[in-house]
Amino acid sequence: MRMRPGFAPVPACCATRACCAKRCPWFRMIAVVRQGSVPGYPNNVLFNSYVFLLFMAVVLPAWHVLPRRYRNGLLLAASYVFYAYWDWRFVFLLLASTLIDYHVAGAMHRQPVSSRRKLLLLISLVANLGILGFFKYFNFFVDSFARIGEVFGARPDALHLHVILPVGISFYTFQTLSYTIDVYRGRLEPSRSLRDFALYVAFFPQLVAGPIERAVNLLPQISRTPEPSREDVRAGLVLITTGMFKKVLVGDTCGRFADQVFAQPHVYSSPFLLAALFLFSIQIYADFSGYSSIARGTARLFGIHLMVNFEQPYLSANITEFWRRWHISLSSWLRDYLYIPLGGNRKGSRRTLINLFATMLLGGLWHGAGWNFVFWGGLHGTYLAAHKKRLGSRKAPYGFRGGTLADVLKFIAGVVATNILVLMSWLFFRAHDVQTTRYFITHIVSWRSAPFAGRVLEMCIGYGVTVLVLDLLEYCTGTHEYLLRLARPARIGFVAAAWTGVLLYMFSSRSMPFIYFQF
Amino acid sequence: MRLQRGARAGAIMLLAFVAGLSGLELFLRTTGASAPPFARADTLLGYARIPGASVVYYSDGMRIDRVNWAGLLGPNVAKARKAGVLRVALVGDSFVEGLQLPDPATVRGILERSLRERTGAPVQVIDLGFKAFHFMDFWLVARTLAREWAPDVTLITLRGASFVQDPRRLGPWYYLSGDSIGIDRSFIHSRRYIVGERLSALRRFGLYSLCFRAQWNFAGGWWKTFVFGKAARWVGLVERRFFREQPGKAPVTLDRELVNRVLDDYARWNQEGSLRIVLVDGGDVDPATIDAARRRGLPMIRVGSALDALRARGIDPNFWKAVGFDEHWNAAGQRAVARELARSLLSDGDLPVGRRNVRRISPRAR
Repeated sequence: MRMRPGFAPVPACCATRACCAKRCPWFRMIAVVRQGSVPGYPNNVLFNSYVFLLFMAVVLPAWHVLPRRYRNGLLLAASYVFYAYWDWRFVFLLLASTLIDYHVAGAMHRQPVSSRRKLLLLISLVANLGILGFFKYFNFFVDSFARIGEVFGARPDALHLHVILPVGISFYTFQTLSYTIDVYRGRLEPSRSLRDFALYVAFFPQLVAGPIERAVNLLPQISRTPEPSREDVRAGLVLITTGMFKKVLVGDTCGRFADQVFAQPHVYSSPFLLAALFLFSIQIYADFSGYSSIARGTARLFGIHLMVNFEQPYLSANITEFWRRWHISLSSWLRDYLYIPLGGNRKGSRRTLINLFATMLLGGLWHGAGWNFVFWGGLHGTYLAAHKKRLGSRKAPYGFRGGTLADVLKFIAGVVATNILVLMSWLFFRAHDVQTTRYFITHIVSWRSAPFAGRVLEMCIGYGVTVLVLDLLEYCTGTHEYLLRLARPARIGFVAAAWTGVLLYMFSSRSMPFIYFQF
Repeated sequence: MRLQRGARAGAIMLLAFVAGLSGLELFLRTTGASAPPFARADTLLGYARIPGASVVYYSDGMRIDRVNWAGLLGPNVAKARKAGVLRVALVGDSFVEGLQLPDPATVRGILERSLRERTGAPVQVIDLGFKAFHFMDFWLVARTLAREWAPDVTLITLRGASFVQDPRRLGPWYYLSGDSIGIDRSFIHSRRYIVGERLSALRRFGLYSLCFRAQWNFAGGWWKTFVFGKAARWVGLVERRFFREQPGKAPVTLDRELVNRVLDDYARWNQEGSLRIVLVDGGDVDPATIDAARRRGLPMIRVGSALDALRARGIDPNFWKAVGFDEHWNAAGQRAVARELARSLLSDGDLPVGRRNVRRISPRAR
């Protein structure tokens, strides 16, 4: 089995098209992941697709027209349709996860005996992690053991299953887990309405790639069935616009370059390799933060406020700050449900460092079933542990606080150093095999320039400056909806210009799926 | 008063819109997200590259390059050839054009390197590949462009798909006209050609990035693409279903007689010595054509076996596309083809080996 320049390994028959491509489950799965669309096959409802615009054009007016008591029902039905559009069979998995946690949490709340509450929690953990483990990690562990087995002459290849990874499984599993754990800890009353709880799990804007919402934040909003204000609608539209801009015009266009170079690194020279790594770091940020903005904006149109998932992470002056700003819903989940239960920083400095490392290692594994993700997580764990050791009992600084020129320079140096560390780690995240990683490292280190290096540098500067400007606007205004600060006519003008570009690109090139859909 | 306020608001809105578009334009240009078009409509072949234009190409592969002074891909080479320089012209479609890879990884680049290493002589390989060109276009390219470069050998790379001409494409239409081949250039009066020309003219105003996108949409049937987005694919399917039988609207396989006339021309050129034509079977060329070429004594190199050898080793010679019609050769495919070409050219005696022979065989050098 060889690794393809995509996200999934492809059997040799796919490479040679020896099979009937359309009937081949591998072809179908990988095509959906890589291309976002295969004729005759169902697909994710990508936010950056006309199908999503049509979907919203039906759901949003219908939701507004309906009496309030039916609105959650409609949203739930729409969310299931949204998910079933990719593959209807996995709706049952979503439903199973919902039913298990709803009933377990309810029983747990009614149960006064601590040991039984623990048992119920265990049932929920086993069920959720079992589903996640099977669909996401079964082959990873089988293949890893197979390699060890080969040393002793065993051939456990037969255990390898062609399992399709259900879209968003990591996100909704963590979401339902947080609900059960919060109910167990007594921090949350279980939901009395199955419909509301099912909507909390399946709410379509955040179903497939987060933010991983906490029940404490989302469930009460759903139960209230909020009425969106004019402010909500305006903010929602602005968030969708900025998200689309980031995704379609920044993320996807960066991705084209990075994908090509990572697919065949040996035909490109050192400047192209370094540029691909840099552009991938921009792609993943623009792609995921763009998705989060669209998700938040879409939810705002229904009057629901989702948590902020990104706070200008590339403007972090240290690695701890980076993780407070990057994928906030995941990092805070890992902190609350893994790092703190492991002991956090309460069991001595050595144990703190081990806890940090272990948390990030598992965080890496959450991203994908591959050793490269484990290594990526481990690398970030090492960074964090080293930073924690250096800080001692002091708190890591957060944000720029102004001051003298020396402070400014120190801040900039911190930002540059943090970005270099993060950039290095992205190589392990993106390159799916050791050969590619080694090739990148050796050819970047033994630098050999090539024709058009200047043009590539120009491209990198263009993307870097664009992302910096977008981040600085958020950083300086302290809000993601900075366009709302403009006068109405100016706002409309800018939004119209952004949509002109987005629509031209959306309709004239292939929709690229969001990177985090694979997780 | 209200009117004044409205006009002011409208002016601000327009200003913001223009400022936004300008920012977008700047972003698209610097990042190469949307490069200016490097090709234009052409009255001779329907498609030509703009000399000196920057190439930023993304599709199944990627290339960042610059069109050379002659409107070709590859290094800048003077048409006038120095004595002792070996020159090979590569005629073909997008497979030969090799836009999917940087120049050193294309058939052109690898063939040039291989021949240089094997012959020890300076070698120039001229890339005369153009996307979507077919068998008859190759003939026209060989007759016009290739001759200008006075190559020692002209390699014409054929594939199964090379024997179909599509009336919807911007380009000449070929037909039998008595003893000769007729060329219909009515495409220059088509709406798409005129619109494309006018949009290209907007480049003068610096609107090329967004314009490029607009042009793309127009080329694909702008109303379909823009209004329906991806639904255009379904519209296209319905269209094909209903209009398939309409004469002149669907791609048609080239008339056998037309193919034979071209092969006759190639054989005649080889005999006259005006051009040395070597056909390359890039895969799936029908046996009747191969037989016809053999009967006329036209040399043919078959690269299919080299590609099959790659497949047998589990290496895909093509870029992988989930949905696509042209699976271009990837780096491995291009390398295999180029090496096979170099090996065959030298072993079949189409090209001389060693500097002494090079001097002897290059009397056409200008």
